[in-house]
Amino acid sequence: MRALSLCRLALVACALGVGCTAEPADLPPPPHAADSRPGFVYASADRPLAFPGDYGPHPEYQTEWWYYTGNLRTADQRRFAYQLTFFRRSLVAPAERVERTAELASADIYMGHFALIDVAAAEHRLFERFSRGGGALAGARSRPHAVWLDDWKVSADGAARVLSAADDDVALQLTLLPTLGPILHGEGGYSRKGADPRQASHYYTFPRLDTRGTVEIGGSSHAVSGSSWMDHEFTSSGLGDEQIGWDWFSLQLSDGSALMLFHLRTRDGGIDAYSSGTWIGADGSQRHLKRDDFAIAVDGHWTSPHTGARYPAVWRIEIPSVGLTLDARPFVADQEVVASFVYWEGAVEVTGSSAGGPVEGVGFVELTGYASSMKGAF
Amino acid sequence: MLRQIAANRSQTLLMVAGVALGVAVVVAVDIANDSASRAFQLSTEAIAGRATHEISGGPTGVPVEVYRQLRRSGRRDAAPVIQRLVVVEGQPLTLLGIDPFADAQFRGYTAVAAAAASLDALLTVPGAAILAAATADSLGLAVGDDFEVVVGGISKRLVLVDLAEAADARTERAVRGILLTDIASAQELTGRPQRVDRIDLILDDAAAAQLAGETLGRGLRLDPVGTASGPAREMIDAFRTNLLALSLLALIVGLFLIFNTMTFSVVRRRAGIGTLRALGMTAREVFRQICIEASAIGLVGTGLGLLLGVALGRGAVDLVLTTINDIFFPLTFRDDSLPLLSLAKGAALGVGATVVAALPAAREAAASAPRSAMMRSSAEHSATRLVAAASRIALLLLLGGLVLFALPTRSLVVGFAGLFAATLGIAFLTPLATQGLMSALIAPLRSLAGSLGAAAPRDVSRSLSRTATAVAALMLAISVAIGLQLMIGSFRSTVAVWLERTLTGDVYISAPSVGGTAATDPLAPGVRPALEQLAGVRSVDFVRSTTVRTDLGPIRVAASSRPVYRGQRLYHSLAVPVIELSAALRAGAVLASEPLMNRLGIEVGSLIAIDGRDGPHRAEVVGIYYDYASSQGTLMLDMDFYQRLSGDTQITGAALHLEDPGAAAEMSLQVARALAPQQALDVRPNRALRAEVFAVFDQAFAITGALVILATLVAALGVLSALLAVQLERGRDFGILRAVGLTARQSARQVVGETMLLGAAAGLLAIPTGTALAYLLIHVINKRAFGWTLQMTFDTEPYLSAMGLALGSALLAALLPARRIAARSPVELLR
Repeated sequence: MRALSLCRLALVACALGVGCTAEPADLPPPPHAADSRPGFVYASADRPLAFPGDYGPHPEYQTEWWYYTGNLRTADQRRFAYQLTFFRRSLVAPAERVERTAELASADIYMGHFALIDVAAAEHRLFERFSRGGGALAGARSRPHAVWLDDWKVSADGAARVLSAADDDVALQLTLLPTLGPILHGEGGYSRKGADPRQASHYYTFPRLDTRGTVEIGGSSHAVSGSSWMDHEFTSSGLGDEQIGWDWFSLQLSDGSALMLFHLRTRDGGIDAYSSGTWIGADGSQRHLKRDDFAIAVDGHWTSPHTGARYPAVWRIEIPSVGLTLDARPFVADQEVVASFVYWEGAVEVTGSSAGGPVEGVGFVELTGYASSMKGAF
Repeated sequence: MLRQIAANRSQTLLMVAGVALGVAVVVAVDIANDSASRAFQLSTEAIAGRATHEISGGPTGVPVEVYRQLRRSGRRDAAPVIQRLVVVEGQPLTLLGIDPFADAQFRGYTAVAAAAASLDALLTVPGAAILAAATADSLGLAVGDDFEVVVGGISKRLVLVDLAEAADARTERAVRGILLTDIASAQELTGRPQRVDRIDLILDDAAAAQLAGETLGRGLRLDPVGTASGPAREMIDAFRTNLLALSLLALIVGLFLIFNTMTFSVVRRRAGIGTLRALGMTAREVFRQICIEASAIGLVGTGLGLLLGVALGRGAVDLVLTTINDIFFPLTFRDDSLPLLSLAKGAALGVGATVVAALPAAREAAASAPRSAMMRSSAEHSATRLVAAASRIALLLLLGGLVLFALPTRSLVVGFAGLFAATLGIAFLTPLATQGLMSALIAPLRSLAGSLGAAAPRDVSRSLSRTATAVAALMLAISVAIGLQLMIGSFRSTVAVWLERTLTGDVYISAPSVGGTAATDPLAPGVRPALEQLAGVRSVDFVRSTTVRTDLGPIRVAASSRPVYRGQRLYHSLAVPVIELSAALRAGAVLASEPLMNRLGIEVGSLIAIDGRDGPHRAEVVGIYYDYASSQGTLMLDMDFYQRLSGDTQITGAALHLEDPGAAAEMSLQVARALAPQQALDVRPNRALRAEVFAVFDQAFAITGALVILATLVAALGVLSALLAVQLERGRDFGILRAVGLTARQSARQVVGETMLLGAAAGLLAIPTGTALAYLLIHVINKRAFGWTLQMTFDTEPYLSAMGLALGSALLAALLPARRIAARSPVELLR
């Protein structure tokens, strides 16, 4: 789902140090919804996902992302959280691509976001990068799976994924071993986002990856362990006309279950009918959740000192069909991602009850369209 | 005081004019020099950006793999660059291929341009380009238009996808000369899809050392930025040093002039000052009054001089920039802002020099007793002292010059310092020499024109305190004119001889070069076989001109398919007999040109490690040859050997030897037509190429000539002012002579005769001085600046024109006083 946040790679100009103030009106025509750029393939229920092939890139779709988040702890319970995301955007539809001889020629550009959250210090460090796909400066492949941008990379080591990223005095070196998944969202991985059937993505998740490794910040290195979440999504469409943003949740609970939910917010303040989620049992069983199967109530807000945006900050989530009531709150209030586009992506802690018994957990929440409407931005 | 100035209007006018001209010349040259320097700096900085180091790989460029490894190892302050001189609609532009994602930290304006453009189009449309709005306008292009660009003689089509709208004037200037494309388009345009020209880096020294150690090798080098553009910079620096030297010359001539003017104003008014002193004015008051007067004249003259200097400077800027642009480096910048520093320098010089020049005279006038101040004889006494003092200074200066020349250095600045010391030394000898010359002339002139004839040199000798500086200034200016003309003439004839020996082909073929830089763009692959199959051609020689990396830094090489043949070159020194040279070169030995020898301090037998694809090759220098094509120097290699060494098989030039050399012009046309579909080439018959060499040569020296004329003008004005003063003062003498029977006509002739004697003295003294100057310019300055040995040739023309100049300005200076003296009655003159 965060999927849609890929949006404005076209805003690359901002990242080039030009200091533009990203007015949507300045942007190229949005490839949103059905009238996206012609020539790309749209997500379709008829296309099943197959692995390991679908771990790799899908250049026939306009946008794609590989999203890693995780909550980590040191032996003495010091908390860290991280985000390492790779976005790919095709600049040209497959049919319009011309044969180029230049090794650096590229039909794709990649964007990376790398964040490390030091909970004890209430610090959120963010780095953003762009690169062309040409010359293999950035890219992805399915076998053996890898995705990279400069020296930020994810590579496969058997079933495990090895993540490494560094910038300034912040570094990450983690090994992730999946204990569940891949979980296919929606109908066999076809995740509907709007009334037009093409307004959808292919979406799968590794909801629980045992994680070990080290994080470095401010010159000191910490051995950490914890749990990560991985999403991979590809699509050729964006938000619908009435959709302005989304609230997205990925939660890992102490009973071994996991939860993915998203609310698509509409212009009139409502929740779009195509909002949905997936409940994943400890045994890997899953249940698709429709708009009316769950409720998310906001119990508090946080106003960003950086952008002035007012974000929801405390949530109560209720899913009667699985007997789940959860309260989620951020470990650190300020986890706003102020980059080429502005959103909030942060680690949260969860308490509540499942089928009458107490449950707790950790997760990540993504909030978009608060700093400005995401509509028209992609 | 002001009344004093007003009362001697013509005298004052001349003084003001003298100061003004002196200031104007210095300011003008300074403005031109400063502007040239900034234009070059901005133009190179705009392209180098904030890079501190660069990785380059010799003629074949840098593989993309190297850049990929840098990025993958986390080095993000790295950006690939392809940079070429290209031509669009006859206008030279710098093709700059960059990666918009990596370039922003190096060149802010590329980001501005990329942001202005549709980035998508820039990346995905092959040949998508961005131009500054002003540039597109001047080319008549609009967004969406496709247009032709000539890259190394091969024409390609680009499409203008956007205009760079610059946020500020600086950015606007940076972008104006640049044709910006994505790096991938540039790879395709230059025909090297897997390579870039260089990788720019931002590194501190420690990181640079580490990087050089760990990732490089195999023909790649890491150098501080500027090493590669070094040759262009060095040449321009030498050019600017020459200009600076000329502006110093103008300054010295200007100082002479101002000094001369002020001394006169005091000497003239000696009687008046004596009267004032007799009336009770104190020495201090006299001193102050003269200083105030000098300041007033200095201020007015300086003000006028600054205005004139700015106007002249604008013209000089054009001349200098055009020269640099055409010969050395394409300048995309032009800064017309008024250089306040130049103005300040000029102002300080004008006012300061006037006052300082007036000081000795003021001190003398103030110090003398009232009675003696009214007598001229005391002034003439001090003139005798002046000759002795000036001669002592001259000796010191000449000795200093000799010491400076003897210093074991190649420093151009030291060379110029020596040159100035020597020249000034000779100038200070002028009073003594004039005195000698005049005494020698008394006898012959008496027999020629009687006692009146003999009186002229005597009078000149006697009035030396007032005329010495003027004669010295005129002598200096004229000797510089002689020296420069001799040097330029020697240079030209040496080049002519060298061309005769070197240009043995009948038709020369190369890719068109932009901005006068040596052709290093390769010929299209099909050109070589086409040339080899031409009918009517006896043989074809090929050459690859490029730059290779060596342990002595980057060196220009010419790899020739026939580096040696009978009678072709003139050798400075050889390690093996000429007939064995070819075999030695085939085995990997090299020839070095004379400037290279001088620049790097190498000699026959030296070893130079040339980077090859399999590591460095230690090449022995088996000969040094004379060459005037490059002041940086060239290594001559055998082409087969070079190709094995570097893997670079491209050629950049060809020379046809025809069965019928008379058909060269016709053959050139035929070849150009036949090859046009492959590549637009410069195909020139021997004669046309030679003419082009001389055209460039003459252009390079155009500004030198202009400055010489200016300096001479200043000096002539000095003479005019000095002689005018002398003759006006001598009105009383002529009054007596007229009273005892000298006719008006005779006295006018006497004035003209005396003045012409002064001019002749300056001209005669300028002959040995100018010749010595030429010798120093050729054997010290040129050798240090360019590393060239020039055969000194003597032409009578510079001497004749110098003599004409000396006598002409003297005649001009004599006319007004002669008319005045002739027009007045003896009584008027005596009064």
